[in-house]
Amino acid sequence: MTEAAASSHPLYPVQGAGLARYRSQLTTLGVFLFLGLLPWLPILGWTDIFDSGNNFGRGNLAFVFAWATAGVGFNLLVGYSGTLGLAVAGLFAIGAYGTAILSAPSGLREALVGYDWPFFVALPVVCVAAAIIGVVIGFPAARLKGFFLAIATLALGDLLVKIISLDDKVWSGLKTNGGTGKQVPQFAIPGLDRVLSYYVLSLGALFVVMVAYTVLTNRRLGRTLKAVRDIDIATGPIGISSTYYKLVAFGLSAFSAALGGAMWAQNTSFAQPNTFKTGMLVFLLVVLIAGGVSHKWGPLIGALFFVFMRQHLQDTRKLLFLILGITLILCVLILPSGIAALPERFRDSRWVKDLQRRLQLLTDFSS
Amino acid sequence: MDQLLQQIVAGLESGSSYSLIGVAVVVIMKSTDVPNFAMAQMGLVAAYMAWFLSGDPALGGVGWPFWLAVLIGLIFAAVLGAVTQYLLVRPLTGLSNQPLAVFCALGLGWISIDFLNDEGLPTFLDWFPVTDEGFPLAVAIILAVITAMLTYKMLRSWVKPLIELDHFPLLLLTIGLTFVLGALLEIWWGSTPKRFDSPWSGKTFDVGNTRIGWDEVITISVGLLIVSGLALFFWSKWGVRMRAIAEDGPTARMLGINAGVVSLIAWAIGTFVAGAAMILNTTSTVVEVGSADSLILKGFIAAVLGGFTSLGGTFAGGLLIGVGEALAGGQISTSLQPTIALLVVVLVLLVAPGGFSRIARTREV
Repeated sequence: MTEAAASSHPLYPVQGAGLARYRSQLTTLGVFLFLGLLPWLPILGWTDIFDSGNNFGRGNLAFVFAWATAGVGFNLLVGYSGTLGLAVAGLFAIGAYGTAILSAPSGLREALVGYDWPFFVALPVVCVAAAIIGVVIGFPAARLKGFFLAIATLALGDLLVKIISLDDKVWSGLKTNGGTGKQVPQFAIPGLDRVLSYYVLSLGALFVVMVAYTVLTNRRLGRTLKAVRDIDIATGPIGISSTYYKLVAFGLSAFSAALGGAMWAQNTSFAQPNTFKTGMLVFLLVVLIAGGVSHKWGPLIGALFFVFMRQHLQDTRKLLFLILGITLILCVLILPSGIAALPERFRDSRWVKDLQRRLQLLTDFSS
Repeated sequence: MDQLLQQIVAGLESGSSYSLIGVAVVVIMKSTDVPNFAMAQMGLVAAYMAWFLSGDPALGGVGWPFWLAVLIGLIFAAVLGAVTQYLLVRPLTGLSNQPLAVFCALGLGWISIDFLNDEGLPTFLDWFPVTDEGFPLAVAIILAVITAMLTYKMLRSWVKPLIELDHFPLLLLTIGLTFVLGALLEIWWGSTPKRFDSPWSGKTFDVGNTRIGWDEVITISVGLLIVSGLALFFWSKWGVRMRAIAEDGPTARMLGINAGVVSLIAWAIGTFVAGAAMILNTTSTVVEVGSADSLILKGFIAAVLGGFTSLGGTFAGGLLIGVGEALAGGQISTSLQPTIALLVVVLVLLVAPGGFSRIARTREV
């Protein structure tokens, strides 16, 4: 009895023995196996819910994975370390622009000119560079608290987008083509059709990030970040440098934001600085908040929700913004832990508890 | 030299609207501790209203006199602010959630009568074995009443006050509100920019060799007037109560100050000021939904310079950002102009998180 009570603690779960110890890792693997085989399984055609006329189903799922990739890191930063770093849209832009510029062929039109690196060299380089930029942003920001930190990182993220839209005026090697936008050279996996190739690529990115997230949060780092979030002041005397761990969270979130941005750019095939303004930040906030903060599957569920909404309201942009705004308000008011926590909320609700008690009574009575 | 003067005056003009937005944010932050990201968008409602009432009837306006239109727009904005506080902020700060539940129930019921009568069940309930056509009016009304009652019941039990008054959920709430208001304005009045003429627009006068527009003078002086008026207000009866609530909420409430009313007044005043800022800003340019986006960020930066407490500091900060931008744009390079404000906020938060106010907030230990 005591053991069961200890292992069900919501914040600091005690791991079980045997295979149960790896339950969370095994679930992750199972979900990804399912998603990876999904394009080849003709079951029920449920990807059609992301379809509106044209064959967008799988293509939109690739978008879902790209958004979720960025969301996972954002979740680590906001949900785990409790740091409101809002520079995520700028880092997303760095991922999109960075891969586009590094992997584009040299000496072509202005909109498509770059350094001609292989895609799989450019991608990690850009992500690591973004992680370093994230730490550099986090260094001043980690001194601030709560709301002030949110404003400082919001401004810094905006600054990154502004630098991208400045182009040659800063440094001619940047090749961002100013405010007009940049065409993204798309990487195709040999042997797969175009849409399927983005699907596999984006799913791979999400897999990498999710595995890292699962492994890291189940270990010391996750517990320490929770401690930094919950008892920030007391971490010093315990011997934990809260600044150091906040910077680690900043770096990891920047890495995943850039990876998500790169995948997003692969899907859209065109990047423009105007896209990465406050609107993008709000999309990412919806992915995070509607999905569920500090819930492992939150970003994926939030991204599903967001892409579903966007697909069905793509003709009327104002209606999309109206719905997203209402979603944010409703999430704050009645669903602070997001869609992902709905089953738990249902299980813990008074109504279900009451039902369980009555059933218990009934079985007791009959036996 | 003449050019420099012109740039400074232009900078003071744009800085004046930044600081008014900043002041509006500070008033609400001081009294209810809510970082209101929707401030500029709420002010924009006043600008749209004033444009609509005073506009040329040929272009879709009503054609009332300018001053009447501005007055009604500002009053409308103040009411909007009060309603926002009453419906959305109240339940989160530990006061009753009944107004929100009643409003949502009535709104949803009203919408669903129409919907059920015209189209039957929504598409996600298609599997339900009833007719696809609309219901008769009586059935629709009964179903709508059930919907409304369920909504009321759900909201009454689900909307709970925040355990610890954190800024993050409130920031998210107001970000959501920004998008809702922007979308509603666009649905109502279309997305094309509107020309909003005032009696003084286009009129100029000369100082030496420098040409200065009346709109610049009026924007700057109205800004000064509003800030000094607010500074006086904070010494009045309700102003003192407001500061008391901000300083130490529980004690002030124990002494008999009605926190709900105080916060209602603060929101009304804040939106009124924001409405004035947006009207001043849009009369010299155009009214469009996007005009709030850049202003709110600059307004927040001005508020950071005032440490989110000092009205004078906020006003000076806004003017400083405006002049800095105008000078950087005119003297160095136009591409540098948008980055100035962002650099300022980062530097200020790093060097002196308290801004111009002498006492930094000591909220955290």
